[in-house]
Amino acid sequence: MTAITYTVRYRLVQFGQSLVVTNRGGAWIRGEISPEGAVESGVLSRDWPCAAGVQTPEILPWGARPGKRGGRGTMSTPIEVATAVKVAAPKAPAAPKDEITLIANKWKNKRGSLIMALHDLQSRVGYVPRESAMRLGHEMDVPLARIYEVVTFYNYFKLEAPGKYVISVCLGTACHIKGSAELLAGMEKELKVREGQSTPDKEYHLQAVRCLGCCGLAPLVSVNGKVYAKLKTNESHHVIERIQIDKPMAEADHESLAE
Amino acid sequence: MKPEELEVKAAAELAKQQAFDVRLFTCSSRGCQSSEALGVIAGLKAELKARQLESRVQVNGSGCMGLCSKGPLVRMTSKTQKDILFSEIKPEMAAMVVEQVVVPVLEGKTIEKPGGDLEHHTLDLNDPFFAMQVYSVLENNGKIDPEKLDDYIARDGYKALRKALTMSAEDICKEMLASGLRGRGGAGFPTGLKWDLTRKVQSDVKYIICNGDEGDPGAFMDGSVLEGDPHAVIEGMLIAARAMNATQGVFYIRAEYPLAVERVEKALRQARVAGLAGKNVMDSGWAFDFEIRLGAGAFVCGEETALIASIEGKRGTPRPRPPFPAVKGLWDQPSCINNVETLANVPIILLKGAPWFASRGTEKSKGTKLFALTGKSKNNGLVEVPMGMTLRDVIEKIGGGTDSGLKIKAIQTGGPSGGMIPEHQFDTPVSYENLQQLGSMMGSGGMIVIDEHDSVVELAQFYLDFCVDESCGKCAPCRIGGTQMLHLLNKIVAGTGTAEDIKTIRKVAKAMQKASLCALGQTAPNPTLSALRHFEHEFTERLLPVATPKA
Ligand SMILES: Cc1cc2nc3c(=O)[nH]c(=O)nc-3n(C[C@H](O)[C@H](O)[C@H](O)COP(=O)(O)O)c2cc1C
Ligand code: SF4
Ligand code: FES
Ligand code: FES
Repeated sequence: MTAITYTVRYRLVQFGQSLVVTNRGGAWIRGEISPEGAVESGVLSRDWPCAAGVQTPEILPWGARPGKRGGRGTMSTPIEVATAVKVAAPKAPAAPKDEITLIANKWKNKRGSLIMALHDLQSRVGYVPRESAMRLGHEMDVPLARIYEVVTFYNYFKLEAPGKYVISVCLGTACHIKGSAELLAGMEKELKVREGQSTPDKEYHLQAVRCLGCCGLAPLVSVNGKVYAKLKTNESHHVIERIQIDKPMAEADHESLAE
Repeated sequence: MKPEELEVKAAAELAKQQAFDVRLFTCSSRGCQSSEALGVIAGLKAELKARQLESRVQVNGSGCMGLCSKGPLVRMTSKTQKDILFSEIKPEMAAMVVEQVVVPVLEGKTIEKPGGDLEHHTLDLNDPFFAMQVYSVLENNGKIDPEKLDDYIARDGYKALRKALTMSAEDICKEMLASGLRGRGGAGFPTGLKWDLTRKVQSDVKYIICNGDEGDPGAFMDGSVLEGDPHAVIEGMLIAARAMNATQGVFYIRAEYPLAVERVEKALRQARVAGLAGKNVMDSGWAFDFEIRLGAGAFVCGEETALIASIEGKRGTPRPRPPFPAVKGLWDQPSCINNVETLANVPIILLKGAPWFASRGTEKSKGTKLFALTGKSKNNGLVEVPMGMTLRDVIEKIGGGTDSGLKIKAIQTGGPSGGMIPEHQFDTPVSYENLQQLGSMMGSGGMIVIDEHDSVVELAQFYLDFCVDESCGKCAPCRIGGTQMLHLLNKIVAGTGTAEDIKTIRKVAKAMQKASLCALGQTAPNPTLSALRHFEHEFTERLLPVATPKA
């Protein structure tokens, strides 16, 4: 993805103990958190990914309105928060070996827990890499063939590395009736990939899923777990734009979790 | 926890709640979370903190309040006035809600209907959508914080379990049988009978399994119950365990519902800490604990024997029955599988009594039923209606007709195993028998409304495509028959089908219904058959024009 330069103004919202930034979301916090404190303790600090080449976050006074949206590639809408917390960070490229041992140890003494172990592995890495599966099998004393048998049966498991951002277009009945097929076709055109494929730069992976359980808000798309709901079927372009706005926050979130 | 401590806990929690003048509940279920409900909660808290009203106003999350399409919903309850339900509240509107409604109410004013900017963000609680529903399973949704055990206890939670601990297994089964509760997962088998069958099998190890796979795409009732009131399902399972002397509980939840998994995990932890599950349940000396297993995106795993295979860590393929799971289930031990909604009904029945429960509904279908009302319906969301209410009332009054104003053509119930019900049959009361008679079925509770612009042929194609995709491939009638049928249906949709194809579809369908190993294959032809039954002209209109011989 091309880098987006942000000329951003932030709003701060408190989530539990941590601070987050918002554009559409989030009430203003009145004076109870000092700007310095916020910048110090929140995700805004230091190497915040989108802070590159951008001014220090500016804390708007109560009641002020954020700036208008700039041209393509320049967003002056501050970044989303409530969202940000939910757009999961991109997955790590591969699970370190000791992590597989951890997963194996957690499950190996429980009967029939192979699927659970695979869930743990995929949620860590984003897919089930062959090498990791072999190691897991070795440590859990399960033949690779059994793992393969299971992984290929269940749609949820992926055998190849997906793009960093997995875009799931819901094709469940409620979404289908509301025209999700058109939405998917638009996404395919927009990203220039087919359903089930990743973009060549491995940034996005497009997939169709069946029902995410928010059917009342059909049609919808989820990106690394964050749902974009009540879409219009011709809005694919808009969806991708919104994902791009939310993306840096996802990485910021990742960073703050790592702390 | 000792049995008598329930009252103490409940009283303490109620006193705590009473101390607040106003309580706000923001739906924090999956639907509303996707519309930034967490931002709303944060915003409300921040604003109240800034105004130093935290001691007078309580901010809570809550389960789904039904009208998901208008989320996030915020319910305000106060000691001094009627509830107000706000809709489509964005985080930046939180301050407005506090300023324009909460503060005046705290000052002693009565607000009938908020004005100004909030006027269009207030729902009328007298609207048929709310007024005509009968809340029983959903009674707690919107009124408790699903993440707080004490909230559940304050609303009579775990009292049914306490009662069950004083009853014999046989008596619990009898009570269930008398209530007339039938399985909400699809087939509608009497729950009391199923429990009694499992109870009678002698074994040292027995499992009770909660089926939270909810594979029907377009249905989200079970997920909503798990997210909104997890303790009710846990309590239901504990009671079920007592009724059949089960030794272990297993939750099987689909992986696509991470929030439901999280809430159940949290609730289980709370229950263990409080001594309501684990080594010594309510100080009775009885030990019972749970495990959670995740599905992995296979519809067929909702089928009992496939579900068991999946819990065992294998491919989820069904096996022939008998032996039934009640005799030989998980790890070859007797097992009972119940649907989420079925289990959520259990504590209510035990607490309020079988006659109370049986007083609602029709002769053979008792109680209430949850539906996920979606599609072209004006009101989209989760609804609970008493059995016996007519479909018309559900669709036109509660659902409010269509959004577009177009005429409703039909509804589809029962998902990929169900069928379409045309508009002229909407005066039928909801019951297991009636829906079956109309060529559909209750299913788990998906109810999809289609209007006159939607094609039933394409909807039938959609469902069949789903079943073919989800077929496990173990038996030929389903694997080959489904593919053949879909092929013919595709032809018709493409406009190259012939009258002969329709005949063949009917023939293949019959073979699948008769010869498939599990209910997936047996019921896969249903949507197509019911579409043919009620809307054959839509199929024939799409056939290749028959060449008329030249004169
Ligand atoms: C293909 C297929 C899918 C099913 N999916 C579900 C499901 O998602 N949830 C469910 O509770 N029951 C489902 N069932 C029904 C279950 O097999 C079983 O009948 C039910 O869980 C029993 O619980 P109950 O007696 O409480 O209804 C499915 C059945 C079939 C054949
Ligand atoms: S009917 Fe279909 S899903 Fe069921 S066992 Fe046969 S092939 Fe598998
Ligand atoms: S059908 Fe799309 S969320 Fe359920
Ligand atoms: S999810 Fe919030 S009202 Fe249904």
